[in-house]
Amino acid sequence: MNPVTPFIGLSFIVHLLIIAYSKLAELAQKTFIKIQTWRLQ
Amino acid sequence: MAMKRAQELSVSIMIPCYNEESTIAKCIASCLRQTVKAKEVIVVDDSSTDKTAAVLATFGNKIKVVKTPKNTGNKSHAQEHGLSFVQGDIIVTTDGDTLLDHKFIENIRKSFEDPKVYAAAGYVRSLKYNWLTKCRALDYSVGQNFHKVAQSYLGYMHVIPGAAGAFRADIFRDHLKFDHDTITEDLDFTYKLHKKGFKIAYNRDAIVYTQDPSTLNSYLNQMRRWYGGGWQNLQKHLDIASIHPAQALELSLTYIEGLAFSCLLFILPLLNLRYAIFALLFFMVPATILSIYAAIKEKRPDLLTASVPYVVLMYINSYVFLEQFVKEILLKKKNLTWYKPERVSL
Repeated sequence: MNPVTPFIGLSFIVHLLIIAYSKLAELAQKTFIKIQTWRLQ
Repeated sequence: MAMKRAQELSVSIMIPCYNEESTIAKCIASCLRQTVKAKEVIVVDDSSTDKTAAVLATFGNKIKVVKTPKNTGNKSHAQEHGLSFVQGDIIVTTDGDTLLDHKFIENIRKSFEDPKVYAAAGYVRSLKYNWLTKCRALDYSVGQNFHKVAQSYLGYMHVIPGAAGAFRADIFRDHLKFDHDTITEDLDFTYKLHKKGFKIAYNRDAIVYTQDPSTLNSYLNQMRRWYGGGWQNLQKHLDIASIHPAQALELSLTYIEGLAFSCLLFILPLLNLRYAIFALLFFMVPATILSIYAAIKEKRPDLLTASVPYVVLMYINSYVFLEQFVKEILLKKKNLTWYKPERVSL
């Protein structure tokens, strides 16, 4: 397998931000689903 | 015809091998010891000259042994030869020096529950051996838990590892062909899949354990193949950058940043030795944090001491990265010679 990049540089920071953004988006989505379910009840 | 559900998909494991007498038996045993049995285990013997054939014979009809008419000297040739014997719906590709976790098939098959998924990348762990394999284990942990996770969110998996890949068999028959014109066939296939718009899943529960180079010489050879193959594939598939912004971003991060960073590492000591020492200390901080992370994540306390050699290896990697750039891009000296790493018993 090819390592993505051997360096702890810009790519690491960018990927870290992408993960953080995606996790936050998932959390927001889950929260909205919970609110919707609660309102329907 | 209706698409089969994931649990109905049959799996063929394909192992290309050449002179793997010391490792192939354990590799096959791990393929046969799965919680979900493979339909077949196909071993493609690339006309080995050691005792590989005798080892394979001990498995009798539990495996299907296919021999190439003569040594092809290239893994992709062996894979192409073996492909015509595959009967399963999913092809799992692995290497003769790799052990599959007992739940590998069970887990990787789950990736195909999404009918849009045509290939899946598993999770590679480096087997414990010495300081070099320790650094590689740290590299894998960082690459697979940060870079690859981000890539899977973006929908752009940079590479499906040759030791832990799974593909719907029909895409090989209908859409992919073996070109044998690059030295890293796994990267070539991944780029081709992206070009054709096939979805690639990433499954960190599908684990394999692989033997990585344990001497500096074999490490250098492997890095030359990986980076040389990387530059070859970039030239061959440069147009994928125009397909999707995420692909352009990933290619830039890998190759442009890699180039800039490698040059910087070697220019700094020429400008001022103090800058170089400062850079070294600067990289020790994230390397130490990541080694602590990897030690916890991989449950390997020995990784705590990997940060210092890891930073030293960064310099070696940078040198090889630049060397291969000069060879493959500037001098156009294409290297297609497959190298055979030395093996120790698994």
